[in-house]
Amino acid sequence: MALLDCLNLYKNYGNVLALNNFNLSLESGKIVGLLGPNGSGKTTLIKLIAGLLAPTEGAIFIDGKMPGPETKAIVSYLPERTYFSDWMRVNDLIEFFSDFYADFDREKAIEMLTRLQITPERKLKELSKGTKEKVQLVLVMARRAKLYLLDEPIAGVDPASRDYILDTIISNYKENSTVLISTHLIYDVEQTLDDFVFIKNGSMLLTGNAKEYREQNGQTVDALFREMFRV
Amino acid sequence: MFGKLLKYEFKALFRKCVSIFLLIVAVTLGSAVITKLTGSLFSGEVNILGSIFSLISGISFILIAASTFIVLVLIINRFYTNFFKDEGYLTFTLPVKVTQLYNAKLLAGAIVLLFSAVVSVIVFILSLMIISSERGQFLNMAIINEIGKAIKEITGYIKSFEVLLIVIEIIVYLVLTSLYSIILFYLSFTIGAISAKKHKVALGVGVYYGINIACQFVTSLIAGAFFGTAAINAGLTNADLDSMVTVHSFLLAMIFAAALIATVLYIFNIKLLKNKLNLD
Repeated sequence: MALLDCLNLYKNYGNVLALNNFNLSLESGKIVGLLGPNGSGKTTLIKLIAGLLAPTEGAIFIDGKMPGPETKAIVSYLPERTYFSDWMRVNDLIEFFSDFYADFDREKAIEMLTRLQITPERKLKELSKGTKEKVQLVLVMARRAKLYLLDEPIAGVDPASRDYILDTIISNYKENSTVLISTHLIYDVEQTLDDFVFIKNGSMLLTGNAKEYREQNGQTVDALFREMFRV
Repeated sequence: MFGKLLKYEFKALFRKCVSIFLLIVAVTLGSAVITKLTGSLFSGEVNILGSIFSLISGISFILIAASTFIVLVLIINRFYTNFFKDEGYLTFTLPVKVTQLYNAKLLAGAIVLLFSAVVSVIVFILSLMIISSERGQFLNMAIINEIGKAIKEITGYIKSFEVLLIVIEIIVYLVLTSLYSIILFYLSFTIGAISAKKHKVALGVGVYYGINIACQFVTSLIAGAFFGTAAINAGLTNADLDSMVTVHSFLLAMIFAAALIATVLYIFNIKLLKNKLNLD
């Protein structure tokens, strides 16, 4: 059984069609790149899988269940913005995640934060935007989730932070988990990916294995992306 | 999970409201003490200092009256921020049902609102006790005795089952209307947040007034169905009020109307959150 199944998905925002008969099936144990230009429907798809939006038509199954409390317990979602209340301390967030997510590994989170030299007593309002993003990534990746949804995790961060984020993703996801990373910065993530999915105007354009593609075609997925999405 | 949601709601709300509570207590009791002291020092004289302190004590009473409203604004602000701003990305991906998220906000909001009303009443009584105290006394304990007497009189009056029933009906009605008021605000700001691209809060305020008028209309229709529209328009006469049956009918009609409207608004709000949520 696939870990994630998106079947004939449609999502309208008024007259705007954000997803147009989108179909996708993901197995466990892969890092998958959801690649597409801005406005192609990546964030909408991720929000639908995370249970933040309801589809206009079609269905989503995560581990055989439709989005709801049961799927949210096994999906770890990193949105493209920080969602913390500024009055909280890092400690409060660790407590919050421990309270709500049975799969949250508190020790692992503290260990990752210590490596970043972030003490749990720090107030969030004292942290820079970049550090807050790292704290959020640590909390998301410290869960032993079945499916990780990472929406633009490397957009707008410096190259050193990019390396840290990608290292964190690779070193923390488990063999039976799947990571879906949405991005338009393919060059930076290509070596991290097992599979890739190209999305354009809300429809799936192409899907494949990144390594196989490079071997068979003698060009990178990034080069293919540039060709296909040239304006 | 509901207990955990409630714990975080109380934490967030009390953090927001504690400064308001402390301000009310400090300003009101402080001005009561100052009014008392200046009153003793300058008794019988018309002086500027005395007028200023009278003004301060007037402001503090206004502050007491406004405190419940300020707390209500903070409760709505917590709902809006936690559901429709960036925090919503965490709130709506927690492994809980939307109804649990909503109920925790509703219950915590109602309890904090009630708490703020109780704090206001206590602070008001305390400041009266300070101002009216005799020379050499700090608190006028006679006020407590008077309140005790009044409570005894009321409880003495509630000997018959009929009167007790009316008191219970009034309490049920007040609890229902507090919940209904909070649900009305929550629904209005939900509609504002999911319908508008800009000026979401302004739209929420507009929707609130619109729905409020509609709810009042429905309430009068229901009350009219119990009494007849003419009786409602004319107002209840003393003779009507003498009849326990009429009072019961009136209260039951209002309870029924509040419960019905609150239920409809609640279901509609949950449906919107489940199906139409779209965070920016």
